[in-house]
Amino acid sequence: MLIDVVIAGLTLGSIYALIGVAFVIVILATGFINFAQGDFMMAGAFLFLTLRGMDVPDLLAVPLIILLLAAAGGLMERVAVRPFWVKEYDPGKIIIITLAIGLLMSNLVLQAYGGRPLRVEPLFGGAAIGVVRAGPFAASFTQLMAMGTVALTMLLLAAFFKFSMTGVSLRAVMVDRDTAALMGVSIKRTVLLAFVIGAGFAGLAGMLIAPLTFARWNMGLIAIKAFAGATLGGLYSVRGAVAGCVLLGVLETLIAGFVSSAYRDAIVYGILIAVLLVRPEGLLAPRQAARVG
Amino acid sequence: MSSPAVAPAHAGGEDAKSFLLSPRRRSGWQVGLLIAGVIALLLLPLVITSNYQMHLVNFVAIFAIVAFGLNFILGFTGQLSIAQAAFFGIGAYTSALMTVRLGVGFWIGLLAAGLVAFLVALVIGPLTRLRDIFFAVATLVFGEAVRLIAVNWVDFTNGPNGITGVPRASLFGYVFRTEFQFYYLILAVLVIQFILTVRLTRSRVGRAMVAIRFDETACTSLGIHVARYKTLAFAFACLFAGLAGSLYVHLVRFISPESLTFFRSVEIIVMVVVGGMGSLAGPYLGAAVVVLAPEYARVLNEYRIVVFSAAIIVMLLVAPRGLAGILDSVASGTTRAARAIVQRVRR
Repeated sequence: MLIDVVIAGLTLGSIYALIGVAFVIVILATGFINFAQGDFMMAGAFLFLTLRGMDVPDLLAVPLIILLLAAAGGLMERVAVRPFWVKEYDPGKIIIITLAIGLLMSNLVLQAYGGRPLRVEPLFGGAAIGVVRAGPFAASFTQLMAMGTVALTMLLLAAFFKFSMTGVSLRAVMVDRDTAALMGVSIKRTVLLAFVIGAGFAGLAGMLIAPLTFARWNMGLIAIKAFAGATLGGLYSVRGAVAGCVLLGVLETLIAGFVSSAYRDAIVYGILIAVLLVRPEGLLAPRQAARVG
Repeated sequence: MSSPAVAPAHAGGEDAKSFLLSPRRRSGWQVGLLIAGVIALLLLPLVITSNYQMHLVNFVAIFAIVAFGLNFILGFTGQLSIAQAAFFGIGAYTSALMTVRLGVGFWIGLLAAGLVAFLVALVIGPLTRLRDIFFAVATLVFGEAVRLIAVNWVDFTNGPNGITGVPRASLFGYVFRTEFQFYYLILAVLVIQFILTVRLTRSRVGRAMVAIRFDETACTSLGIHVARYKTLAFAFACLFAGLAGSLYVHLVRFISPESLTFFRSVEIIVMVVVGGMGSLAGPYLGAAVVVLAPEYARVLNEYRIVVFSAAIIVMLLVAPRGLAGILDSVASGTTRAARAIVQRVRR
């Protein structure tokens, strides 16, 4: 029982990590948040459902949706967000406009697909394979595939950060925007890139999580938990965000399994508020790394 | 990189010039306009024919109070709270529970609603130390937590079914039976809030709050306790959200967690954005549009959130000063045109 719960938590946590990392990249590179992050995740799940309905094979649908959403994220930054940080910096308006874009997406989906949660069959014919056992450990193919995909994505991200010039410049902006700008890194391009990566990651997360939790128009709220996880990790590094999100995923499933499933979300939110009140720099972060206050 | 602003945070040129934040004294015509406005509001029920219309006007006034509070903190200390519906709900539940379960009078419920909302805001006050985006997320999460408590703590809040049979408002034995009578009660709170806010903006405290909006670091160096002022501004806005919640619950005589969802908080933000951020009249215009539009166009009701979120996007990109800004430029355009004509005639 405990092992099953922990495995389920690890799966959930690793999917949170995708969104948490997207949050951290956008926050560190730009100084603000994309409030539509969760709704890009929802869009990923519903686009996948739609393409499935059109008999598009998963192997084609998954990369297609990631590219599509990444492009949408870039478009959103260019059209709706840029006016509020290039000419004059107005975080309030950025928050409101990204929030509105997210709401527009989720409510259009509500109108088109209705409010019922929709079942999504596991990716890549996972239903046929079912459960994989190894000693006391048992995990469904969907769970293993989700964890594996996230691990692979993180490796690719690490390689991108380390070996490509674009990745290095993105990392430079995340560490120190002003100095990076002086060194000739284009801030506009980097902010755009952060939004593109964020939206792409969110889309992938949506396709991974939908078979586990069903697809629903308001599933974007899950992003709050990814944010909570990233905050636990300190919002100062990609690695911290991954650790925090995985930790939160396990914590959340443990709470649901052994404490109260009705209060699961309230407890998770309470943890986030407590962390922000008491240690806004995050539990896993070194003391001086505060960037939140 | 302690200051994460992409560009230097020379915040809100627009707001600074606006009437609300203007440091100059009131001129004669402004006072005149205000008095005319209050008289118009007092006489408004005379032109309203049906109970239903009056009901809608009461809704506009109640939500205008909440929106005005949000506009105040947004314009002053630059905090965007996505939890105003939660504070509205805290007020409504406080008042409903006290009058239904404890049987206390309406006015105690009303005062308690404001007080509890104020105290809760003070308790989560340290959140105001967070940077803009994190404050927004923290309030969003707080609002969701409040809603989940209202849904799940069935013994206390009666869960998703909500609380029914809330008594009518009454003061010193006078019962507010009709929508028309109730209107004056809401109007009183609205006017008190307006006057207190305007008085506050012209006081030392208000000037400190404006200064915080422009440069927190400089304020700290001048000995202004930034965190304290931000918390105070936030709690002040929440106090009135709580009072509005109490008025709502005694008007509708029912409250359920439906009234404190994330979407309700967003609607309050829509009111402020559509009406015009940082302007005195903005929240009132915005509340009128957001409450009345869906009543008169059924399509709008069905696609409520779709239309509202599209409205936010369009407004921010095309007319960031909202309806108040549009009216303002129309007015000044007309004045300029009139002046030009006068000059031409003189010549």
